[in-house]
Amino acid sequence: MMGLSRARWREAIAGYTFILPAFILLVAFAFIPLILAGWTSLYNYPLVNPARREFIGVDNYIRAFQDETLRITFVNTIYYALWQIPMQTILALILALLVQKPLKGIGIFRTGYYLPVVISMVVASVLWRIMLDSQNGLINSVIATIGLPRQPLLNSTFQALPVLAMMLSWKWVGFSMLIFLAGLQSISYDLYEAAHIDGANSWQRFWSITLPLLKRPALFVIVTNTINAFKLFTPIYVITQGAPQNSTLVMVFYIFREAFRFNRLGYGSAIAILFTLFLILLAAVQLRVLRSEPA
Amino acid sequence: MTTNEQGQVPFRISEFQKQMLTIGLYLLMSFLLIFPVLPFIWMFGSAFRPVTEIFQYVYPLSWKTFIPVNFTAENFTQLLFAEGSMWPRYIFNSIFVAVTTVVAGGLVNALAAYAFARLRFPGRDLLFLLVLLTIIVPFEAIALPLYQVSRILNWLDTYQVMIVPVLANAFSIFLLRQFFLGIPSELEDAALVDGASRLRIFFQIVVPLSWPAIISTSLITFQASWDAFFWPLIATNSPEVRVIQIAVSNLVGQDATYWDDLFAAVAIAALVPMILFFIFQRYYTVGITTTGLKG
Repeated sequence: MMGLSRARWREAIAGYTFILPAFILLVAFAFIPLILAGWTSLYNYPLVNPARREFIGVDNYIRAFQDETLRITFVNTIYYALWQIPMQTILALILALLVQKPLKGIGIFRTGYYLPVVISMVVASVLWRIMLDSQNGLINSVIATIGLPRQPLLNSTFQALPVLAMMLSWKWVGFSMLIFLAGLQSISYDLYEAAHIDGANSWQRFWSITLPLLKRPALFVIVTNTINAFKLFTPIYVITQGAPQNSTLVMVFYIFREAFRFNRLGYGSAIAILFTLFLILLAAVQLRVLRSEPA
Repeated sequence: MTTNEQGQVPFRISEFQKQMLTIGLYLLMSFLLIFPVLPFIWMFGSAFRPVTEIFQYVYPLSWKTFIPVNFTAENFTQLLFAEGSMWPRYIFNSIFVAVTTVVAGGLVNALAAYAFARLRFPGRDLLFLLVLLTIIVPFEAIALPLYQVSRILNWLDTYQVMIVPVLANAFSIFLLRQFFLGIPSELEDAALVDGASRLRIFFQIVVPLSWPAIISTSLITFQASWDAFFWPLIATNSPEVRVIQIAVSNLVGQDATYWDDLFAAVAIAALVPMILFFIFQRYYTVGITTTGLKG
């Protein structure tokens, strides 16, 4: 650093000055809260009366591993993710393959499929809450009109989570589709032509050219879909509040409920930390496994 | 695209077959378009019905299910212009928070992104890594300690609590940095030789060249702010600072739902981002493909 010339010094000072506002904000509103979460998690910490907190060490963590409702919540969250991630990913891939050619009016279809992404999660949730109503809802009206028996949908402990997974796939499939589409459009046409000349049929071409080259976008889609599936909150808050019988209780809603309804900020923080570690671990494992998979 | 019984190279298919395939593709795409688009038609249709008609034609399905029979704009005039209605305030709050976040956040993030892209200073790469680290931690996980920080700052239930903590955004910094890296640096070097300051170079040379990326990040930021629900739900309470998403979700929580208000409010909340989307459509794609694939 001693050897820096005058010009380099000025450049460095400009650099630090430029990043300073962003850095102060990130420290104050990301790094400090992260440390604070760790600290709070070691306390019995009433939300509304912080002065009455008491240090209890790792008791909150021990309690988390013995909490039967939390276990149900965790299983629910995974069950939901196992519905939503494949549903949204496969649908998105199909849609992307359908709209990849620059046919006349293709923009209408691409825009149409993307439309649900544009509206807010609250709007989508309110809309679906009304449409999924078992008596007056549009969905049961459609089901009844085509001659099938009306379904309990959100009133059923078995149907509620898969129905929510369907709704969230509806909401986000356009986003994943666009990622796939960008991947498909980056594939060079020369590759297909070369494969033609080598005698590959369309199925072989799909398997040996399209799919391997879609690996990168697919990786991105699966990892982001997974994280988003685990962070499900707004539809639960707006539509079910965890009902019926805890069957739609999911992690973020549970953390929210512990902290802001049950006044247990310390316990909520401990679960939030465990949950974050789980998400990071999951993303790391996914990146490992999906990257190393032979093409 | 074709079947291949004889194991021949299926490069040639007849014009007729090609046309049939294209027609089939259009039919399939049109059928699939029903799923994303029909709920929107139903939502906007219901917003223009008198309250007694909203659920009258849900079953059996007919054109009346989607198109208002007695068309009226009463729901909107009542929501927006009734004596003492808070809805204009909620809409203003949402727009105010989103626009402020876009402008202030854009400045903070673009400056940092420029420093990370162009300026050389000790520790730059480490600091950039630290910034990227914040992407991994889900906002939901730091929401509880962020609530504590906001309480200490005495910011709960204010505008700034919805703006300042989300200003610095690692995603925006990353996206803008990618774009700045792609701009040739000759112009900047020449200006530097002429003695221009870094700040001046940034505003007079870099910013004018970067409008696509700036618009694209601004749209993403605006939409994230307009859609925000979890954080405003926790951090605010009084009607004076309430944003439209919270107000909409409050409508469904009540025992007796005002369906006329609800549909008008949902329609407005949906319309704002939809209008932006239709105006700036191509910038959305720029942002998505940059973040999704070049990462």
